[in-house]
Amino acid sequence: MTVLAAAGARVGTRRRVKIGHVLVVVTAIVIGLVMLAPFAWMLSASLKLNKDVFTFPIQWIPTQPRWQNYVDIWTKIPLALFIWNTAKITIAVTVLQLLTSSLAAYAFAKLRFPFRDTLFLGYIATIAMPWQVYMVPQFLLMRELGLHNTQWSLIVLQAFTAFGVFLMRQFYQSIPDELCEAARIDGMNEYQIWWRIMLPLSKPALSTLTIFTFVTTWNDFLGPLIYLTKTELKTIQIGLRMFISQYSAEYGLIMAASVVALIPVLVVFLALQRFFVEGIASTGLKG
Amino acid sequence: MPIELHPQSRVQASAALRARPASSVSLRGVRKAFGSVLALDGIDLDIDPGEFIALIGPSGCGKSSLLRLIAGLDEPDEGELRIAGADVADVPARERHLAMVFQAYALYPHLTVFRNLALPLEIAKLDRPTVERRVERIAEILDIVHLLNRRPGLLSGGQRQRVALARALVRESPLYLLDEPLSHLDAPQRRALRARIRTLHEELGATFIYATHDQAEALAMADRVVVMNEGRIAQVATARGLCDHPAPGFVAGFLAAETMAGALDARRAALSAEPLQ
Amino acid sequence: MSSVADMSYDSSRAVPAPRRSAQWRKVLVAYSFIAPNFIGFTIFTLGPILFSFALAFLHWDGSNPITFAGLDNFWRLFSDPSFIAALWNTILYTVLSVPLTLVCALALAILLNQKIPGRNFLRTAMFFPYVASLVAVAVVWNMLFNPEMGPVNMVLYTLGVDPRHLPRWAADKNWAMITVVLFGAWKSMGYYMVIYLAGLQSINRDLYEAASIDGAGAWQKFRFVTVPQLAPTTLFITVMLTIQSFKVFDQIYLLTQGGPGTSTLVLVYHIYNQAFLSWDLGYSSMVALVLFLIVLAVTLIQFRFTRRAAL
Repeated sequence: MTVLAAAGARVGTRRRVKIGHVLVVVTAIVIGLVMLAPFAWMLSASLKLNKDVFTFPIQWIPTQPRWQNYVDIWTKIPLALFIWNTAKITIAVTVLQLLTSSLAAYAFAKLRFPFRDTLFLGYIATIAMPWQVYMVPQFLLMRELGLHNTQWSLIVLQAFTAFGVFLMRQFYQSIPDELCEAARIDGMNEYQIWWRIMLPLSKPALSTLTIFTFVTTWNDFLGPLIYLTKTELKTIQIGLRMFISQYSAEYGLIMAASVVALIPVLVVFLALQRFFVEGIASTGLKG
Repeated sequence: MPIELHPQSRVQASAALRARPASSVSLRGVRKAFGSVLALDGIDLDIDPGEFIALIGPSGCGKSSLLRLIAGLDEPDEGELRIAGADVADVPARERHLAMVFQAYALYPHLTVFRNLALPLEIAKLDRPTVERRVERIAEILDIVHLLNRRPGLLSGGQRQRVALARALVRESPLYLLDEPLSHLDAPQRRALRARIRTLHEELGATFIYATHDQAEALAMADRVVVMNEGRIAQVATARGLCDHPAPGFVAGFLAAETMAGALDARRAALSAEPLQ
Repeated sequence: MSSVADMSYDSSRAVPAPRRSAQWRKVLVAYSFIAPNFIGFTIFTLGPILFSFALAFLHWDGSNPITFAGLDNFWRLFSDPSFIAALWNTILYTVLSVPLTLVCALALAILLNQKIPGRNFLRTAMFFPYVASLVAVAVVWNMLFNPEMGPVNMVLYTLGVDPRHLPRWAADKNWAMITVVLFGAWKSMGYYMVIYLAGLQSINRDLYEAASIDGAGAWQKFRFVTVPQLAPTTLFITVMLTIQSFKVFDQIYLLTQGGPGTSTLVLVYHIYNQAFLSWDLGYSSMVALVLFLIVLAVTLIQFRFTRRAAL
């Protein structure tokens, strides 16, 4: 092939590639818009009067945004209380989960003791088990312990999962043993090693676990549904649900409350999304 | 002559280990297997306080395993291990008051060089001025002062090795275990550091156990050399003794192969007018 | 050479006595690390799991004395129309949503693996539905798909669909399942897209170059390089999606409450009804046991299938 012909072929393919490229970009943007459309609609509906919410063609930006909606929701239902309840439970679960998982994972990853592998197998066996399979006995247990209809029930149920231990152990195994050995020779006991060496080095894994736990607990629906019947204890998920069934026609208010319910997760998600994505990606690769 | 102690309890053993400027080390009938691999097959060895002992041998001979056992990172399956006369079977690594230089450096990646050096001293509850003084002093000796504020990740291999060395030496302990501490350095760096290690040994007066695959290095630096092969000690002698009367069989063959390389090295060094040591 | 005369030793003693106490201390320290998590785990997870398996063979309503049921609960499954409906619906949901979500996730991943502007923003956008609060998005979804007023039907109407043929979505027993499936796919495809992205990025570039040299076009590269290389990822996602589909509850509760009729009643919903509305704890545990066994069986079959395919 002569140089000219080769150059010509290259130019030709480049133009063809360009069109394909543009197509890809357009498709991606369209799909992105479709995926986000419900949220956009939610946002715009939250600023409308109830009668305007369903106007068609859709008025994406309301001519007279009804900011009053965002004021009313705090008074019509105890939204602030729900948010506070959810925050309490989520933070407690996250902290307990991080603490106990990383402690346990250190032992499973770096220490030798009898039954280590058997016990760890016990953890793994439950990972695939759907929670719904044993939620009934759990409920009975909570009732026996008098924790039923308290927020402690939810905290205690979710703070000690196998997932946390599994994730942290996976990560700890990637930290070289020599670091722990050097630390032992430097005179540190195992607790000091965990605190001064393992924890600081496991920030990526801790971040991943934090966001997983945070999102899962914040969005948890069935748990609060079963365990929290007193209104003042309810979390935002079932509180919102209650609101929706009470004021089923107050579309504007419902949307405003939903938007507010989404914001904390959005913030946490945007802040830590890198770890979230990396965490998911790595489970996929190792799976 | 060193006084042998027979302490009754772990606390006493630990105190004994801390009190001496230099520890003796003694092994009797020590065996260690990892799974089905017999790493150490009946080791008997006596090291005097303040000696500089080199361990040499082909890879897999058990040098590292021996160091790890003395350090307390692994437990012997059989046999007895005494440090400063005290049976350390019951003494975990962190109470043995010895320092170790790892072949893989094992520097704490999330801490600066300064913090890496300071941490063992802080664990030992030394006060801040002492910590700073000692860290700075050792940094000067090993020429890493300009690196004190950096993290290990930003250092070259040679720099990391010097920091690993510094981390051990900053502790001023009675016993130092060095597992191929200079293996990742190039020849001129190796030669320079050999001299400094030897000087430090004289200053500190502590016991040094130095594993290396570089025979010339061992012969140049050590008071006595321990030749190991397949988990056993083949011969223990001074450098002179080893060269004059190598044990027949393995040792003789091992030394001959190495000495050729060593001799060539010496010639090259002589020709480039660089000091050998 | 130092004198060893005053050192007494007994080399026949394999492990000196003092060493054992050091071992014990090590073990205790290790257990102290795992204790907080493991104790909580045993009490609140492992225990209930074992009890659940036991409950399936008992009669209990939570307050009256427990009686032994043997296999009564099991036989009851076969004559319970709700259970049969739930089983069927769960399978239907799985069969519909797993391929849909998988294909969408893969398509999204391939799309967003290209170098396009705003790629990171788009990836975040795709992923956001997964983390969004379920109640909030479910209520929006219901509004969007409102048969009379919702924008979706409005758009369909504008496109020329006869008002009498507009689907009634969640209010129609034929369309309710589809509504729920669509919702599930929309919500979770971002999550699986991330996994596929990681898989795509780990494919060796050389394989594509070799394919180019062999004259392969884009579609052929996809068929002969991408898809085989992604096989482990696809298996993993399939297993995860299947398990997730069998466990579906929240969105059903929020979108259709299992109806209309029993058209979206799924196994977990049935468990919920039996346990917390009817207080038939033994029976609900039996349903749960059956659920677990099905999930286990399906997972194992999937693994076996791909291992054989790989061979």
